[in-house]
Amino acid sequence: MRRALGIELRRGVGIWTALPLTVALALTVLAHPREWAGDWYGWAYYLRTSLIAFGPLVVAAAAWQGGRESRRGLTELLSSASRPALSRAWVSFASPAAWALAALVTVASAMAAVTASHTSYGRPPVLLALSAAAAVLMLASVGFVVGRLAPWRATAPLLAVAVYVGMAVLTYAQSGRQYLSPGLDLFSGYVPAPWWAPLSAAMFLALGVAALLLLADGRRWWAAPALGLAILAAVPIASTGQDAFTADEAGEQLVCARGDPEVCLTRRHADQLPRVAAVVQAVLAGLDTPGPVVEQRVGPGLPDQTGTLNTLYLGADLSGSADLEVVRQDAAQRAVAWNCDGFPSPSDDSLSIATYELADWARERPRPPYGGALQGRTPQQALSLIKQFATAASHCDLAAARALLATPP
Amino acid sequence: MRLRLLYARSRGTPRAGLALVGLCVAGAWAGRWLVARPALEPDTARLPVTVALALAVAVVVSGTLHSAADDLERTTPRNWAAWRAGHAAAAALVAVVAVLPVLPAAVHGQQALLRNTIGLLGLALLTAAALGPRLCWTVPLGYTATVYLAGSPDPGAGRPVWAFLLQPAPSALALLTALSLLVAGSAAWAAHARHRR
Repeated sequence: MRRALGIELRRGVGIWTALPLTVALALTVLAHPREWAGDWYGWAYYLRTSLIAFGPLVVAAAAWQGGRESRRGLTELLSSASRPALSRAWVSFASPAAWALAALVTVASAMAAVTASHTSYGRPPVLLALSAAAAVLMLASVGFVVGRLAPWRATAPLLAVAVYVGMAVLTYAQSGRQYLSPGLDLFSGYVPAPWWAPLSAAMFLALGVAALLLLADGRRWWAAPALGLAILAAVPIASTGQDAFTADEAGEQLVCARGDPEVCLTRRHADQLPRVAAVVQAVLAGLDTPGPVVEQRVGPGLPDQTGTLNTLYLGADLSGSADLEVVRQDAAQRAVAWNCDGFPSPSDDSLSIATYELADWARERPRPPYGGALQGRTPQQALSLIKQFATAASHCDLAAARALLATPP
Repeated sequence: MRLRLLYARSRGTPRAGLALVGLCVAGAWAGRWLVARPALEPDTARLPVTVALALAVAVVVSGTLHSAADDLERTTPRNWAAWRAGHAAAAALVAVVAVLPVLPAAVHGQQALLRNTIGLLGLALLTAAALGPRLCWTVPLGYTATVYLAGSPDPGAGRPVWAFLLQPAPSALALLTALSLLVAGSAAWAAHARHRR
């Protein structure tokens, strides 16, 4: 058995797919480093997100392996062997499953090394990462069984498309059922209930075992208890949906940097505070903007979020830095922040245009001559105008704002 | 004519034709279902269909490249390079005709689906020339799965070329990339026959 397993691992389809799978997964995660590189929950969640691309490839590789014996005309020969069908299937299944798992573990380890070097908060949620590994095993199992039962050449790619479509349908359905999908797009500001990740992993494993047991000659009913377990695990996940996720209270606590104005980020992005504070304070220098300038937060009972720093761009990229260009833009919008009954813009197009022009000036601080609302002004006069305009905007005083723009320098 | 019919039947074209019809009906339904989702923008809602259906159609059509008696056919005194080039052209034509009525014109609609179908079919032909027709689906599948998450519909950083699948319909560079793949794939597939004879 061990010898057969070793041969299968070295000579099966799996070893040929290991490198392409690793490259595909690596390219996928390298395209969006800001979603995982600076945050442990981001790391674990992105392993699940990457299954949207990785999952169909695993299914295709396993289906190709599953159909191998039939394509090679070996079915009759192998059925005459003394070893039970399930045992033979298990050895054959091990090849694509083990190599797909190896690809996931390789990329996940590299991602973890990057995350560990950038993050300043929390620990790796290992159970969530294990749920991604369990999902890979389930996908390999389902692919293998379908490939064994329908050994046509087109089975592997069409099954991959079907899995991709199935995951898309679950996602776009926007109900609790989307959390049953192996490939999930989750936001790292929320954390799951303690039971969610183990139950998710158990559901995938039970489903994978149930699929493999369908190949047990004469004992296919063994699949029923495994399928029952998978359904039992799926029910709480689907019925609770997003309610199983709550704001990460510890991670959402603010850490602040003193200065003019004070800048506060959540603990999840505290490692970015020195460079983000420097950028924000440079944009708002001399404008007397009331502080603090805070990061957007999630969860109930939080105050109005206008004029905050966009949390999606505060995660580290591979070099360890937040997207400082977006931070600069957010800070510039904060320089002239309207507050009209909760709306962050005035009901007057000319004032909206002037607001953009003034915010652009605060962001870039260019040399004169200026156009538009700042025409004919010196940098000092521009600074003075923005301060007065921001005061009018904060009270939604449209008349005062218009008067300021009409006043010659 | 009889020879052409036998050639087509030996490549499993009746089964591929049935599969194409089923896929296109499912694609049309999926397009309408996605547009009806309130959370999705009508212009971009059909993007998954323009990618997944194009991949499925390219896989099914390129599946006809495989022959059970390839070596036997090569012994016959025929210009197989011309036959293969004709096969590639016919496959492209059938794929285009099949997907034409599936989606309405939109930013990610009919034109994008046509472009993606011919681009992925070209990639499948290139793969068939390099790895053989049995594995012609591998590179299109790997490319599509990777680009779908790694790419973006926004132009820039060469995306109209390396992520042509996700580009909006008016992108001329993405269309040129797909056409280039089809031409290169057809040529490689035809040349493959000449090389092996």
